[in-house]
Amino acid sequence: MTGEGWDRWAPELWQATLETLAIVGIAGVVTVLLGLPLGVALSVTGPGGLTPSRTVSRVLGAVVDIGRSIPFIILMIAIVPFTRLVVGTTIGSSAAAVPLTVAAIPFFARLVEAALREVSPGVVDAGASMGASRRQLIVKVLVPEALPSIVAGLTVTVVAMIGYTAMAGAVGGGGLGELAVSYGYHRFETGVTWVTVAILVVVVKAVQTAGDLCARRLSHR
Amino acid sequence: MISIRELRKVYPTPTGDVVALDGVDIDVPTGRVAGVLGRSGAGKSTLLRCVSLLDRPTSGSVLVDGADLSGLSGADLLAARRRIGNVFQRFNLLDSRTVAGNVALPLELAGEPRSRRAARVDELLELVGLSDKKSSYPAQLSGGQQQRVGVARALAARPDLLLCDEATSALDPETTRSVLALLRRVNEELGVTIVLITHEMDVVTTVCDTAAILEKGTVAASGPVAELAATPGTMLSDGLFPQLGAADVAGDGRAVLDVSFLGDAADRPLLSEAIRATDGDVTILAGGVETVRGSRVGRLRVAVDTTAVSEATKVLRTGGARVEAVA
Repeated sequence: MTGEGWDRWAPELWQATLETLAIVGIAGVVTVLLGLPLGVALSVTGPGGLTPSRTVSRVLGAVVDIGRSIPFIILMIAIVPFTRLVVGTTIGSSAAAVPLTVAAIPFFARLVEAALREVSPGVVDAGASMGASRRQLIVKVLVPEALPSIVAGLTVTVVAMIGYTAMAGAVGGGGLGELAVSYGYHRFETGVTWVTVAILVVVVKAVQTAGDLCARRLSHR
Repeated sequence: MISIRELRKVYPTPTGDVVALDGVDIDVPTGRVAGVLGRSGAGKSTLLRCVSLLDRPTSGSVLVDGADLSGLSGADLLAARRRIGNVFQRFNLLDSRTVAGNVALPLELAGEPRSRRAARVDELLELVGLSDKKSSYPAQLSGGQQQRVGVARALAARPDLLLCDEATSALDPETTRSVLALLRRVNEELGVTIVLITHEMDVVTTVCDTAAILEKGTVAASGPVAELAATPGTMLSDGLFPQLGAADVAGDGRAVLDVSFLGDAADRPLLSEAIRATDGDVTILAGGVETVRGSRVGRLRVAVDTTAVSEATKVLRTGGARVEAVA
């Protein structure tokens, strides 16, 4: 990539980076909003949970595991009708955010479940013995105590999502992935591919560092 | 008055029912400190979970001032749990909350307004001597300090009963003493009834007025602590005084007696009286005198000439001691 080439690519790279961040940002927020309650539900209905229920736990577990086991590339195509229903289109960045969210929710939910399971049963007992209702136990004891681990889980989820956006980009989902494939691959602009990879590395590193910092700040152990 | 009545707890397992509690009766008068002493597996934890209303007994009841709390459910159960404060062996503080936040938790759960919470938290931290640690997190505190926070938290909602589960078992001896002193002060200053569940004899002899000894899910003995200590065969007495073999002296014309005395009897020169009355020799083989909750309690194992046994026994018993022949 010559100096002249850089002038040409820089705005597009910038645009694509913002697109990737926007996709991951929106999908990330929705993932937290839906994945956290799902993770809590998995945890409290599981064996030894606050309201153990074999049926609910099995149904939720099955749905979550099916969601996690479908390869992302297939999921993207399989839920095209759903994507169209939600955002009205099947190409571009908003279309990429839908399958990304669908893939991330069960992934994050399992991490939330694991984080909640790490909370000492003694602390939950302490809360229960103070007359906490189940809702209070979840909101005031379980989730706050597990928050550092939940944040660590969210970091892992977001990093995985950044990787998935690149895959979505390859089939017209916008962002850095689309740029790398359409220009770098199809037009043999190898330099563009390398730059996108470098940007992704920086973004992932930044997310990981921010996530670690956040988790450490929240942890008072 | 806290009354535990005919409490039974049976856990069904694939290999048959396990009876953890088999008809436990314990009475704790309001404002007293009662101990429940037992080895691991005696049913202490089960009893505790039933009394703190975390577990439902299979049958029997837990009565606080005559009201049966063991059968409650829903909002009534949650309200009843608030009347019982719990102090845990492992403190069970929330790592995510500061000291003040931990103490405020029961008040928050009870829906107390923020302004009243702050005042109550300050008051409690003052009581346990941790006002300067208000903004610290539990991980920054020593075990003894964490347990003080645990006590403050348990008292926050002004419970009728403070239930302590091996509250000092994770602490070193010195810290144990200071936490026990705190509990005693809480009892004396606030008039809170305390039940201490422990396997440590010292805990019972240091702070408890009465005790129940739990063995295999039943109360093997109960009563004022000094009396239990003076009763041979109870876990309290056997732990307090040395255990000895008698074989080496028995048989050479002497008999071995165990003499226990309590209170007034401990202050009288009973052995001298026995020696004078029988004109025989009395050899002390082992023994000790302890002060338990202000009463002197003693236990001696003595060898007496076989000819003088019955007379000596009579004199000692008349003086208020308890005498048992050792085989």
